[in-house]
Amino acid sequence: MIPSRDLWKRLDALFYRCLELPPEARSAFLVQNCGSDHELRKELEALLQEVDEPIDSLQLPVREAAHEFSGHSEGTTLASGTRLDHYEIISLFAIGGMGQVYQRCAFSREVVSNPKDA
Amino acid sequence: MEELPSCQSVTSLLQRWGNGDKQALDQLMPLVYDQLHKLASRHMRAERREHTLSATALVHEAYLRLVDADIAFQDQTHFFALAARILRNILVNYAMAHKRLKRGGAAHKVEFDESVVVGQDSAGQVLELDEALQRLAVYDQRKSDIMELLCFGGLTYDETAAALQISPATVHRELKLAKTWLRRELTRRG
Repeated sequence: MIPSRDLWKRLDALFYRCLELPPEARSAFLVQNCGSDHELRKELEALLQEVDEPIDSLQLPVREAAHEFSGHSEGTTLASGTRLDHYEIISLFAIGGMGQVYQRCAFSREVVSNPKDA
Repeated sequence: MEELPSCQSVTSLLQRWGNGDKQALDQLMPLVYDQLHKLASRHMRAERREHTLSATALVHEAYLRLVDADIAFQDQTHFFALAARILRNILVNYAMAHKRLKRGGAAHKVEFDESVVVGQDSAGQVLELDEALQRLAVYDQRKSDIMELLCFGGLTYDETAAALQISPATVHRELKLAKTWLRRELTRRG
């Protein structure tokens, strides 16, 4: 929720002022300072409740993506020229959730194959 | 054979950039991008699957390969900040390629110059994080910058402070709202 720059500034200012207050005083402070903007008050209350959660949950997807990125890279794929039965791998076509897709050739036909099915 | 960037050229480009030379950044960007990309691709070749590659390890390894040891601390943190931005870019590109593939990309004639490699969940989450950071940046650039360095660059709080030329206390303070808001934003949409 960032509907406008002014509202974000208000949210920012009220958030940090609340942090300086003891938890039991925050609710009354917000009622007083948010006026009729109930949405802003609710948002601030929710934010303040979660303020001590660690940052890890935000870093984890990045770490996993970097891991997947490197884990599925060239090192674990079939090199061109590799023979599978009577097919020969020409090149890697794509990698998806279910496996790797290669271009291969057999008897001068070009077909696309998933090696996990082979 | 491609020409590898020398430590000397990257170091002097970093120093020029630190002194306000914007052209130096244009030359620096592809050098660091290339190095990070190669490192990320090769990193796991000899490792076991359960090994988790961290952004911190990548950024620091790129740094060791590209930059002279006796560089000033300020230039060093500039490098980390740049590397975080580039790593974000690399991972977002891969996550988008993964999404295209999921939509049935393999049935079309698709030109892949590299393998598409991000897991479904983390790919989607990385894209959501990237988009949320962009929305945050519109109203609060500093909070968005802090989160970029911490999440995509794996920088420490002190390195983040130095890279953005603010105090560590400010990083801690800004972080409180930045991380809480981002987490809510991601659950709201997730």
